[in-house]
Amino acid sequence: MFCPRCRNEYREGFSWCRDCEVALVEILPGEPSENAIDNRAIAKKEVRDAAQANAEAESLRILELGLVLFIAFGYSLVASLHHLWYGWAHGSGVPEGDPIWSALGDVAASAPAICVLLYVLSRQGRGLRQLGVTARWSDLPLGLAVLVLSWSFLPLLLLGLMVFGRQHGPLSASLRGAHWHAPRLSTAVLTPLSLMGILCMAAEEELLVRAYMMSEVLDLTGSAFLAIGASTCLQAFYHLYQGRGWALIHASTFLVYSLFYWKTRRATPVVLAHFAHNLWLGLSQPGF
Amino acid sequence: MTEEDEDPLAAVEGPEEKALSSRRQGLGLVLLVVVARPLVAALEQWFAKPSGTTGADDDPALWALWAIVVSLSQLCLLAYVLSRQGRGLGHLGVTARWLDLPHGLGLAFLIRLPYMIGGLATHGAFGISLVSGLSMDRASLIELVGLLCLAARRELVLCAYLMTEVMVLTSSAVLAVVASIGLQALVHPSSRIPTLVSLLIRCLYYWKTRRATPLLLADLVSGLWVTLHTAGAGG
Repeated sequence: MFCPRCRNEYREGFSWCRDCEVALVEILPGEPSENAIDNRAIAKKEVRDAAQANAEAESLRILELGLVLFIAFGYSLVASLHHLWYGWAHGSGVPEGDPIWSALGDVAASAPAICVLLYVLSRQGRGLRQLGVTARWSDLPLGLAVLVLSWSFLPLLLLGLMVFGRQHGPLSASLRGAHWHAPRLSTAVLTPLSLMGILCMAAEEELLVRAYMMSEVLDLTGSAFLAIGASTCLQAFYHLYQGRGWALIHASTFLVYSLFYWKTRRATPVVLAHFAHNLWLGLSQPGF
Repeated sequence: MTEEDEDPLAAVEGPEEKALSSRRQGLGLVLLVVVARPLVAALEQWFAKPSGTTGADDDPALWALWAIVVSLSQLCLLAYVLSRQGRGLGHLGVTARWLDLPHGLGLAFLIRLPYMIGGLATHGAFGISLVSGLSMDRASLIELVGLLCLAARRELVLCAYLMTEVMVLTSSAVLAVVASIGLQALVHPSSRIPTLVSLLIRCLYYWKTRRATPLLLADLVSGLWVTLHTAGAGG
């Protein structure tokens, strides 16, 4: 037994401190019991373990994000770097292939990457639904709205560049080369296989770089700015093999898609918008 | 209701079945990523006139970059799939022993032998392999790294991993050998008898020893031999 005031210890049978005139207590105030000490140590260990497990889980998610992007876009990134270094556009001068085999190649290139994404998500107990892949009627009008918005964003970008006197940059060069009269449409891409190829490519880009990458960056850093910036920049960067001008044009489109995804967390409308965008490019500029 | 109540099969699936199912899933994914594009290109070569060379084929440096990036990404996927099953490349026979070097060199000679015999039978000579000198003129460092990455991908994914998984899943060594040779021949439609014999030697070696490093070394040495001789012959 202890005196709570002078903190002296007494033998069994005493219950009163005669010096301080107070009743004795079993535990001194401010000194936790052994059980309490044990519980606190266990709690501390649990917190430490949880923090460590959390850090490991975060590292694994970063690794998985890198793996998925590396498998899907590794070569495009390298080709873009090569283009930046040597100024030579990948695929320039390559004869146009058979559209059927080209479409099959697109499917074979994008389907495995989507499967890798599904495999990685399954480890995390997630699926495409968690990334915002839905099947609602409202997806179609929303997709069209995103497409129109991304197209109307481009003139604003051009206007901005002209105002700042940068009409001699790579973007202007690309746009001067483009045909601004009403294009003659080619129906070569309107076959089921070609449409499938275009859809797979659009789904690969939007599911991986937009929905998955943005979700992961948002979860890991909590920064919407970083998520939008990383997604848009990466997508524009691996399009550099088409030339710097085209990459800038694509960047404005991807920025609109990223903003839409950030606000709504819905992936299907952006996949549809990207599909429609690529379909238009295929119709108006065969072999794009 | 729990998931197991909804799916009676899930309830009876034991840990062994789950492990096998996970291995089947992993094998399917790795093969899809590795084989899908080359398979379409091979089909195009078989059934249609190829659409011409790609940009990567024109430029040796870009070709090497392509080889490095594509091979590394596929090897990373293999390592990830194995890690999800609690395994690593060591389980496929990737070791670092002194014995790997002589084994690799011996195997390299063996896998070049069918080509030499083929050349002798067809042209009455050994071909470029023995008569031309070696040259380092056209073999840059990045191309050598590209060769190493391609060798690693071929031997680790299409031989070691594929054979290990098929043997575990079917318990048949013959099927494992046939699957590995068949898949490699399928994605390289220009394969002829010397190539098939060479593939058979590699698969039999792996089946007997379960060691992947000598295979990798042999593939690299064989690739280097051809590259340096081709450069020496001005090819």
